[in-house]
Amino acid sequence: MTATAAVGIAGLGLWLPGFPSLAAWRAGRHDSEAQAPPGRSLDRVSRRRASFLGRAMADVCAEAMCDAQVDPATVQTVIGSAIAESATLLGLLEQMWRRKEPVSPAAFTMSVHNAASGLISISFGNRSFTTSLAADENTPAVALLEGIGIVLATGQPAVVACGDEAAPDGLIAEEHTWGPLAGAVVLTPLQPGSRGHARLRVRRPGRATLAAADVDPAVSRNPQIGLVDLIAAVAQGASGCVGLDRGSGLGWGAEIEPCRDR
Amino acid sequence: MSRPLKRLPPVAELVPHGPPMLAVDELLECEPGRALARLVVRERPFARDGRVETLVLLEPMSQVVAACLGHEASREGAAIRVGMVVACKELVLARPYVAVGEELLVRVERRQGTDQVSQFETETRGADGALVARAALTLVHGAALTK
Repeated sequence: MTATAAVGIAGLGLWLPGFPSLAAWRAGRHDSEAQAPPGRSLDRVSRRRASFLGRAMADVCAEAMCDAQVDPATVQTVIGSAIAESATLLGLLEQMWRRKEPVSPAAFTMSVHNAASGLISISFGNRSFTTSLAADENTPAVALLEGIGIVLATGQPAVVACGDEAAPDGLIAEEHTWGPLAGAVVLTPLQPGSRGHARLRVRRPGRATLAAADVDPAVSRNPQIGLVDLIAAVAQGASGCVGLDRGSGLGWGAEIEPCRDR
Repeated sequence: MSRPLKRLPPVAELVPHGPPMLAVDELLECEPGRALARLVVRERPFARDGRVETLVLLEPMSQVVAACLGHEASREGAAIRVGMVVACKELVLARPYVAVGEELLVRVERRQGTDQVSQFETETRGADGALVARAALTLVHGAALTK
């Protein structure tokens, strides 16, 4: 068995179709109008440039940072996504190859995998470490492993956000397509007296002992669903192991234990 | 129904790449959806201290996919199209480097595909048959090639 050292989870953020925040989802307040993330946490220019995914990632990061009371200008960020800005990229290729139109440099800058990471850094005025990862359905596990490593190495908090928008037409076989989601957790060093939701260890194998989150079936096929399962379990104050890939990946799990001093 | 060509065309006629980026020397087998090719690792443009990082093999593996698709198009009398690798999954690098002068065999096989997108299983093996690298590549097909 492989397991990391423990860190704290001090903040949570979530965006799901119809649920613009973790609080809305926990309260069951479905808003049929809220089918796209507003990107409220981004500045006006960045919001205009941001994709659906970029807006969702920024909003869940902001919600988790606010919950954890960490400084958005200094917290380190780990951004995970399986297909990231593929829709923008494929749109550019379509424009270039099929419509024979010149490609906008501004659109090109938003077609790269780390576009969300860049927008969040710019908008939050954050010059700290940031990285973007992709590992398909193992992305939540890999992003958490990276985040835990950063927290343990620096002694400073890190926000880990994972999300994927719906795959563009043709990229994924129809039976495997998914609905959009984004989630974020703020990881902190474990210190006596520190506040937080839970203690976290990531382990493999990590056989799930806690139930998966109850979400729309299309959303449940999203490669990042494992992070939503973790956020839901932590928000409920559960104790046990959350599967980070719903059985479709390498079998990483998140062992959580609620903090008593919250 | 299209008939197999008796001789396989040079790779340079099937892909948009030219020297020094063209890394594949020869197609050994090619039929719709699968191909086997041979290459000898070259000094230019990626070698350092007589060796090349195995990750660089993503390029020749992609070129063999392009050659396979180009060959398919030419058999059917269609235009050869450019393409772009947009995703790489299940990447395995069995060793960190390959040596300049080393002979490698690259095999590709289509997992699924449409007119616009294809997914190929690709692998590279050494002359001894040992796995060197493996990956599943997703490609978007573009416009007709003009060389």
